[in-house]
Amino acid sequence: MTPSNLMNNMAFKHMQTACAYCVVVCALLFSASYVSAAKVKDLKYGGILFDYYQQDYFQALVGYEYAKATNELEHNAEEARLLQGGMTLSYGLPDEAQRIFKELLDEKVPQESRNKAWFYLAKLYYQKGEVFNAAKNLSRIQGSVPKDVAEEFNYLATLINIKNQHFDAAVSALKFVGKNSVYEPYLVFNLAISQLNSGQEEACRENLLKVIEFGKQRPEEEFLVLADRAKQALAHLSVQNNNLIEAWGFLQNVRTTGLYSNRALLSYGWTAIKLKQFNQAIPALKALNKRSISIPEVQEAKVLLGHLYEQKGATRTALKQYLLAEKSFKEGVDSISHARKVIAGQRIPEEFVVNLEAMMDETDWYGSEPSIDYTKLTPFLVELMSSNPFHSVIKELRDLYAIRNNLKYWSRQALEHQLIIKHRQQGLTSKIIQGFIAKTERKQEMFENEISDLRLHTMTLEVEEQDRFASIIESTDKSFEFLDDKLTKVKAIKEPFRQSEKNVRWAKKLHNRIRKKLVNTNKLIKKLEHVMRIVVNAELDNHEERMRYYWAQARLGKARLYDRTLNNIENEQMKKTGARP
Amino acid sequence: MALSQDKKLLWTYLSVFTLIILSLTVEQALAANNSINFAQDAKQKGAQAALQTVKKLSKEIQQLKSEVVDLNKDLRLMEEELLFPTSTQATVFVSLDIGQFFTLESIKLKLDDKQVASHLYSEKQRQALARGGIQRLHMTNLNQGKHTMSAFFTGLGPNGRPYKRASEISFTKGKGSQYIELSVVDDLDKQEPTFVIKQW
Repeated sequence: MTPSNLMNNMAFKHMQTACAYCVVVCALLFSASYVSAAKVKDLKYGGILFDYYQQDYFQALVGYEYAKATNELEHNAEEARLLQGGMTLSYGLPDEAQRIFKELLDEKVPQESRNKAWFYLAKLYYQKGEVFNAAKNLSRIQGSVPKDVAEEFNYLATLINIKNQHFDAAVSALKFVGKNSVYEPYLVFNLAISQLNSGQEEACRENLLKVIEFGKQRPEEEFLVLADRAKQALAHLSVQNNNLIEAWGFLQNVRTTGLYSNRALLSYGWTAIKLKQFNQAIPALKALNKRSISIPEVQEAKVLLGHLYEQKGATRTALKQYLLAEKSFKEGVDSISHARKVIAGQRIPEEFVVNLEAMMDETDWYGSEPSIDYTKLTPFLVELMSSNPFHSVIKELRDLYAIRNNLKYWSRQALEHQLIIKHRQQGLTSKIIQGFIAKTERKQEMFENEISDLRLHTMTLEVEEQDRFASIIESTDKSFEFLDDKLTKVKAIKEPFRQSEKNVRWAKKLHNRIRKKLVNTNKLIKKLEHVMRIVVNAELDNHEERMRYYWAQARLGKARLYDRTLNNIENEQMKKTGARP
Repeated sequence: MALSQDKKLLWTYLSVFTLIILSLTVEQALAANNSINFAQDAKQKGAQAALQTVKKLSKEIQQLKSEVVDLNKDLRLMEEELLFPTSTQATVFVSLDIGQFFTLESIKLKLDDKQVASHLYSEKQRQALARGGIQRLHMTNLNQGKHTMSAFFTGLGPNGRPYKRASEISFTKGKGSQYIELSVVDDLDKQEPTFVIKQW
């Protein structure tokens, strides 16, 4: 079936066929021999690649525009254009990227470039959430897929199949994923979750177990995290089926450190309680109890632990736990109010956004001592970070801060440009040069006379003494030659260099543009920082409400124990006095 | 005394009642925390509305990004015209072909016996070079006429041994701008790197 036939079918059928086509292309992809990647023939294209491979899309895009303006992309023009589209997409300019790819497809370009353009367009539509258009564009790829996008192509094709619940097609496509591909565990996990959502529980279980196997075969952190998620999902399924023993088995194998350990420890504790294995639940809850109060699971564990001691009849330990929990919740509420002050600070959003990556890398979020102000904020924003809308605010802000730094750099450069221009305009004139030449000639004559006197004088000395001065006289002669050469060059200047008026006007215009863009950037930053503060404060509200809720629970627990103790004392007294209740 | 006994009795009943109610509710409350709306809806809706405004701002941000890319291109062109006119401009680039026999760590560049540039490479930059990227190492102004350029490469050679090599070129700078490429190429026959300086 050709792509044009596909277009004539009904939407659903079209999608089905398009996705099946993707699978066929995957098969082609891994059986075909590749054409070697084109060599870099233009130096400037290599320069663009250098920035691109370092993911500095902004500089790479500037490099492309510059090379295009100076006509230095003769041989790699098409590849560069494609790359521009890809970079534009990565730099967060989807509308422009779409325009570039469409323009490129309207032109006569080789099949490989066309295929890449279709692929990038498909990726763009998928990112926009337009799965139908993504599949349509992917199905337009003809022949073999270019090697440098092959793995990504297969990933995208499988994702589309999963999204459209074409699980058989997705499973077939997975067979073509290269061994040791980083995408495979993620694809299998996504497939499992989609299968679960469409009621295919057995297939989902099989795939989640595969993800756990990937973690064993490739013990890298990202795959271990994914395996932890798979174990939790399996435990969740077992709980739903009232198979608590099985659930407990899965949860026992989740690592006690890492991103998903909090939820796992709490689930483990609850499952043990449901199985009436109170002694098994306590160590898990105790482990959580030691972690940062900002984590919701820790808050729940603190109260649950007290309740568990109560159930076991360990009243004193339970009371102590409630009292300590109260203290922790008070500290937690205090740290939230401190976080509110931090986010209200002038420079905090920028420091927070710019250092986000470093913070995510170095902190494990568990009771780490904050070294600078913004780190006091981060423990409360972990959940928020994973939400797409907030993530895009952070991303846009990061780009805007980078733009502001770039414009500030050019503002400083502009001062230097103006200095150079001013100096050149007020600097040398033909008259000054003539004066300089006359003065230098006079000096030259004077020095020559002096040196010839000295030369004559040395001749009156002994032969041995003359030899001592010979080398000095020789080097002085060379210096005179050099001076003479320079003077001849200066004399040849008919008119001193003048900055052209056109260039001066051009510089002035560009400097004005810098100022305007800086104003615009600051305006947008202010708007986004305002949004960020609202969202962060709402998240802090959420945390505070939750914290206060558990605090109240701890207080109730404490009151309950006091009541019970008081009752016991009174009952004892009544027994002693013989009074009837 | 009787009144006091009644009060005590009432207090005891109340305490027992409270205890029962609390015992019944605590477990349910703990287990049901996920369904509790912990923050006021209005504030959360406000936050959602604020996030929606970002979508509206997105067009403006996209436009600004494009304009700033364009402005940077113009500024780069203007600055080169101002500081490095075509008649005197000379630029030195670095490239790496495969890099199987040599891990580039640093380069020192001498022009007419004077050190003009040096660069220490990060892993990210090495990878970018190995994948076909070309680095602009140095840009300067040169008179027309004869010049010599020497480059000193340090890094790890075959078998991970420290490796130092130098390469030199004499060239004549003409009227137009001059491009020079320092290239590290794997020699598959000799199983070692070669260092070449080319004039473009």
